[in-house]
Amino acid sequence: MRMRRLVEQKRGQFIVIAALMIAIMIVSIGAIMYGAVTYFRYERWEEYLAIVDNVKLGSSRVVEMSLAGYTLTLDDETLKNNLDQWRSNVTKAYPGFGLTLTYSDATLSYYWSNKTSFSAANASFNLDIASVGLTGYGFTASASLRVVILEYAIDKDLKIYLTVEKEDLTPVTNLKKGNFQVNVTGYGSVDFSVARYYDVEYGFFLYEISCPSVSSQPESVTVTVVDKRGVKVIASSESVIRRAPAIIGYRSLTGVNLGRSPKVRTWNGTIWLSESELQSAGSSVRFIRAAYCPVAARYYEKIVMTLSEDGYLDAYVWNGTSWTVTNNIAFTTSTPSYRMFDIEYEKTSGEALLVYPNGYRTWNGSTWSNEIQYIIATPPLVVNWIALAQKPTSGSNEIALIALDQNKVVHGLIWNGSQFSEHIVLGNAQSATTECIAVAYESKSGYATFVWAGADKMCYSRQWSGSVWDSSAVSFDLNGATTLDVWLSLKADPTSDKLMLLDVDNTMDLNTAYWDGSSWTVTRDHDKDVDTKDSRCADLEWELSGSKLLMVWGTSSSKLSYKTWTPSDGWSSENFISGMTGTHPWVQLRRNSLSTEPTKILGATLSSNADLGSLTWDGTTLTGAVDTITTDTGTTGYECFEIAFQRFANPT
Amino acid sequence: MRVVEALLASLLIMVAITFINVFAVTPSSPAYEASELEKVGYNVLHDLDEQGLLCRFVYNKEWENLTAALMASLPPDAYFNVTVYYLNDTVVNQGVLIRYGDPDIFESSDSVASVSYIVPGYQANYAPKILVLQLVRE
Repeated sequence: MRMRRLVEQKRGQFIVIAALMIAIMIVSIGAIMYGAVTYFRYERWEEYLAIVDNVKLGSSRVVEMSLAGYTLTLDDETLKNNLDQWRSNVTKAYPGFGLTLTYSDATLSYYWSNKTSFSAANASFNLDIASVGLTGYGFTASASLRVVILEYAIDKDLKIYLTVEKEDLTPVTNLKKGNFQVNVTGYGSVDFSVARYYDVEYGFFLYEISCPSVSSQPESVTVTVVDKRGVKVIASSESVIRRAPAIIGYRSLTGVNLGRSPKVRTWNGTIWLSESELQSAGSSVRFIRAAYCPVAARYYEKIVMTLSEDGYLDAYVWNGTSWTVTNNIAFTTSTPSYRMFDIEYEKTSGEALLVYPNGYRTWNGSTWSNEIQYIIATPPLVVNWIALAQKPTSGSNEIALIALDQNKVVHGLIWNGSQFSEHIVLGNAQSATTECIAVAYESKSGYATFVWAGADKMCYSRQWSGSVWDSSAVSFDLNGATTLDVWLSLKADPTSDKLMLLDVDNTMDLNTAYWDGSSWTVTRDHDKDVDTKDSRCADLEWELSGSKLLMVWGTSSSKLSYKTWTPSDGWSSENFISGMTGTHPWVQLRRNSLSTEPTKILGATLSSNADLGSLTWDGTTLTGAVDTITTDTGTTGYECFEIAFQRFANPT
Repeated sequence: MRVVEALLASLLIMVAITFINVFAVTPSSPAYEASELEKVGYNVLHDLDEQGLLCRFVYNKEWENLTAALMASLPPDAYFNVTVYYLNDTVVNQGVLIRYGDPDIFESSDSVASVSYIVPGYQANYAPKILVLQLVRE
């Protein structure tokens, strides 16, 4: 009771006491907050953070500039020396902070002269700031530059496609011409232009370097890139090889239809792939011609033409996915013994021209035209041999035709892209039963050169300039004027106006004539006893570079001889390959369309055993295989095969 | 009797709150100003450095470009004065002013912010230099 009264009497004092306690709490909390705020305020947190950021970014810069210096001098100590100075300098730059920077795992590396090349630097850092109690703040700085040559190819001029990336594979998009140097094998340092864009096909940002002075596919390119930081990378590519396959169409007694169906094999750049049997031609195939489309958009398109015993021509076209056949597309004559047809593409339009004794058809990439009747010989006569040549100069659709009729008359004709004109009787040949005619264009001038073996034991040539015929033929003595020239083969240097003519004469001598653009120089009797005079047992072909020509001929059983010719040294001594069983009534050589390919020239040879073997020329060595293509063509009397190279590399 | 006690209690609380407010720092104070300017100044230098511009300006002595870049990056009412030093404290931009605003304001203002920034070099050349950026509001 007493206590209760006391409480009741002093209730107001408790209010004051409570208020006093609240006031003390407010002041205490305020003092604590003030202390905390003051600490953060005057301990210069912002400045510490700024220093940390500055040191981090500066360290990255040191690594970058060390990499730049390293790629210039290849001095392994560059990074270490710079980092040692940096850690000392950074301490001096922020005096009073107790700043200590250490580093570890500092590495420099480069991997150059490859398709994917890079330069890289890396270091780990540890930062202590004693004044704020910061210890063990770790970070890593790295710098790199990576260059990838995606591909290079001739598209009018040399185009090199590459990507440039820095660390974290971030695309480097601020480079200009001055950041690049380009070196091309065979050309040295070349002038160029640079374009950069986002490529949808590749899906990333790339640089396109155009080198207008480079017009043929080089064996390798080297691109030096120095980015805005001064970091250098040297990238080289010699492995960006896009294969240009070849095809051989041939007759064999294999498959379902035996000799009635032509067979094809594809050269993949290294070997001949397995045989494919095409649809039946209706009767046994005697002659085969093959051609590839010269237009890039239809790079895959090829045509195989057959002439069969029934006298009909059959056309097989590869459209990229399958073969389509047009049987009996034209009739020549019953049981034809001579190759009285030929097929050739127009260079620019990509339209193919098929010519036979009494007419022609064209192929526009999807359909064959109707037959246009055209009689070469007047009065009408069966034409035994027809050969076409494509004018190789830019923008042309001209095709030259040489024909030999049953009366041994040699005809010249010009296809202007839409019709034949300029018919001329070139002369009289020594025979109508051997292909003693040939035609080829000079590669630079575009002059069509027609040659034929005359009945007077002389050989003749006459040129079509593109607008007029030479006023008269030029005669030259291939065999010493002692016999007749019976088989001719004429091939053009793809880089100049040079031509080389091969002749197997009636006494089985092998002779050649070199055309320098204005006159013939004869080299007689490379061999005085070749395998046969009844078929063309020899052939020659230029390498794409034009610097060398290869001639191969059959000279005795199991042996093929060969020589090379260069503008500087002329003909080499005779070499040979052995183990090629039998004699070789037919030899054929064709040039590769790509200079980057190791195989410069492919060949095929039909032996007396009816084996169809292969020949490969890598520029120095001729390799033969006796029956790679087939072990039985079923005939040796006809040139029942032909090789054709794809004109463009396969897309990558 | 209780009214007097209530008044006394209220007075105690008001005195406590007033005491606390004495130590409050308002955003308009000189200390606050300097701190903010330091942050802005540092961020601007850092951004220029990240873009690779700061090194280029300093090592190629592109002082006009540096001035223009700072004018474009800093707030319009911020005046600045930059001095570039070698590590031995000699001035790199000797005789060249990298400045925006009335020079007297840096002497008279009581809220001048100062930012130090080290750049290690340019491209392959390691040669550190220190920038001192002074900032003051108009």
